[in-house]
Amino acid sequence: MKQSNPVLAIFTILTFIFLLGPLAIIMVTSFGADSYLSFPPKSLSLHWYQHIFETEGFLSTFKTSIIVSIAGNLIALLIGLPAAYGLSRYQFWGKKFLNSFFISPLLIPGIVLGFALLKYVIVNYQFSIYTGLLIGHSIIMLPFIIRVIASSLANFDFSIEEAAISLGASRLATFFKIVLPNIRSGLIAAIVLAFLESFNNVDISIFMTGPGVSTLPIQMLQYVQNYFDPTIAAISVLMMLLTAALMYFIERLLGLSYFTKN
Amino acid sequence: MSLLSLNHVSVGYGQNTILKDLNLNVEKGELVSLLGPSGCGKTTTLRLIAGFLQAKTGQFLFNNKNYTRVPINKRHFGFVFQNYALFPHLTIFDNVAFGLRLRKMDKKTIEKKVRDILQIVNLNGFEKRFPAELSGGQRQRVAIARALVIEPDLLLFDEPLSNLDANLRIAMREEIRRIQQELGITAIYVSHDQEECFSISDKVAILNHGMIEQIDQPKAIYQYPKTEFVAQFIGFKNFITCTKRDIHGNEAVFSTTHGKFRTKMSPGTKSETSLKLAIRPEDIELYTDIHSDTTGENFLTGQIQLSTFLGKSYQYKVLTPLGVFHVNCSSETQPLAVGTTINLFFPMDKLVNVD
Ligand SMILES: Nc1ncnc2c1ncn2[C@@H]1O[C@H](COP(=O)(O)OP(=O)(O)OP(=O)(O)O)[C@@H](O)[C@H]1O
Ligand SMILES: [Mg+2]
Repeated sequence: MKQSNPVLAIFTILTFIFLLGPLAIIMVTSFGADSYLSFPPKSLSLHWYQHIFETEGFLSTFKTSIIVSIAGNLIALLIGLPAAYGLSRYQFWGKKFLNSFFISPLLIPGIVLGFALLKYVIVNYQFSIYTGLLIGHSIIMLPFIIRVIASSLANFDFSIEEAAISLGASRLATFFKIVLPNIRSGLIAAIVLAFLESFNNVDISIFMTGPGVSTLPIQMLQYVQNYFDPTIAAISVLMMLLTAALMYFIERLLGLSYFTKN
Repeated sequence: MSLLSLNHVSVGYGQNTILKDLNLNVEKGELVSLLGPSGCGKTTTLRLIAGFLQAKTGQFLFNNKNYTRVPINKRHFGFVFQNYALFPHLTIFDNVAFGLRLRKMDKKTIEKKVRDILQIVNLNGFEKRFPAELSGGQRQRVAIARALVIEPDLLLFDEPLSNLDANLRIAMREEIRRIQQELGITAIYVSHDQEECFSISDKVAILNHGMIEQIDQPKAIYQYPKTEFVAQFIGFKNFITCTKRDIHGNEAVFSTTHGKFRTKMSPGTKSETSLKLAIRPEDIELYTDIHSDTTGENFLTGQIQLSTFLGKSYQYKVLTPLGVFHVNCSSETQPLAVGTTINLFFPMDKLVNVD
């Protein structure tokens, strides 16, 4: 066994405090009874949790967020899965360009992308707000889908596919029967990462939302501009719980193999 | 008609032509191996036959049908990969059953066929395991079973044993030969292990730079390599360049600047311009006492330059007027000192005329 290093231990603890401290503070303040954020709270109550459901907008925007994240995810998968497969399995002219093209939404600041999308696509073609949101979110999810799936594919030996084909399987059958089951963990990781990216997104959504249609993060942003009570802290706690539940679900499904093995 | 014929086939990657003018015929039930140095195009040839690669020119006939453009999954060939390429997410049973299920067989038939083939490769009882839970040799046998169970018209092996240790390699190659003969399957086998190819094949094809230099029965190649490349590849280390050849019946006399060499004519007489003789290090006889009759035909005098211990023999590097020769002598005799003058004798039935 290695000797434990006290300096290293202190740094580790400090890092954890730095990362988890704010979350702990938010959690505690969300249970405060005062009508302003205070830490530590003088008395405890569940009032602000109740307030989330009584305030207009949170529930409906939550629904919009979920719908956009899931539908956008499907669209991104429909484009991203074949794209990742093509990019990792075939050599063709312009491959490098396409690779960078699909990753570019990660590199361009969200504000720029959102503004450009609004001005040159959404307004030009007169898309509805919902459609615009969906397009924007599909675009920001695409790089996650492609990157994570392509890296799983890179770890999957091509000769295994050739073996299936030589046994009589068509390319399509090979993809569904052999490739997909073997990149399952990467696929699920890609879906989850993309979902979280979309669900928490502000910078694109802010351009795509409009009268009547908004996402939860945008609604929260508007709320804190007007009120300073712990409702936002309470929502944050619920969102953390949602993320944790998602992680737990994936862990049960995969044994977290993707995150620990690769 | 042969079962398989490649006629004037060329294959390349982009601008690079790898196979130039390949001609190969394989008869039904034969095991033909492709042998050659790394990069000579063995895998390329096999992948062309399997259908993973397309011929640029030429024709591929199988069973009298033109297969040149038939897609891989319609060819009904089995392919055994160097790295086994088993399906990691399927059990051994499902791996082997994969090809049968695609052929829409009923459950009972599939079960029976899988069990029978696992019996043949000595793997019954392993049905429920996953590939990761098997040893290398067992995985290789699963790969063979998976390719065999569809009763392929042709079985292709690409260095199937190169990831196994020496003992297992020998056991497995005997296994492959046994199964191939038992089921009467036609097979093409790629390897760069000479002994492996010679021991299991009906015919061996020696490849060099994308061309078949010689294809023949193992013994014929071993005794009578046709070209200098083939000779060198199968262990002929010594070459004599001659100036003239005279044929007397079934013997030939080759003249050099330092003496004459008499040989038996090998089957398939070479053209008059073939003036090279080849011989293995272990076939040259070495004499320390210089008799009067040791100055005649097939003798050469030289000096030992270097002596290397090879285990069962010593190898001497001998400098002669015709160049350097490598000669092996049993290590049971006293080794000869460097600088000793000796006589080399080249038995006429061991000297081979090559192109
Ligand atoms: N995908 C490819 N793209 C370009 N060139 C290739 C490709 N695959 C093989 N080659 C070239 O084709 C030639 C023949 O390759 P091949 O794999 O057939 O050799 P091999 O005889 O199987 O060698 P080894 O014994 O090392 O497996 C080599 O010079 C190799 O560099
Ligand atoms: Mg090879």
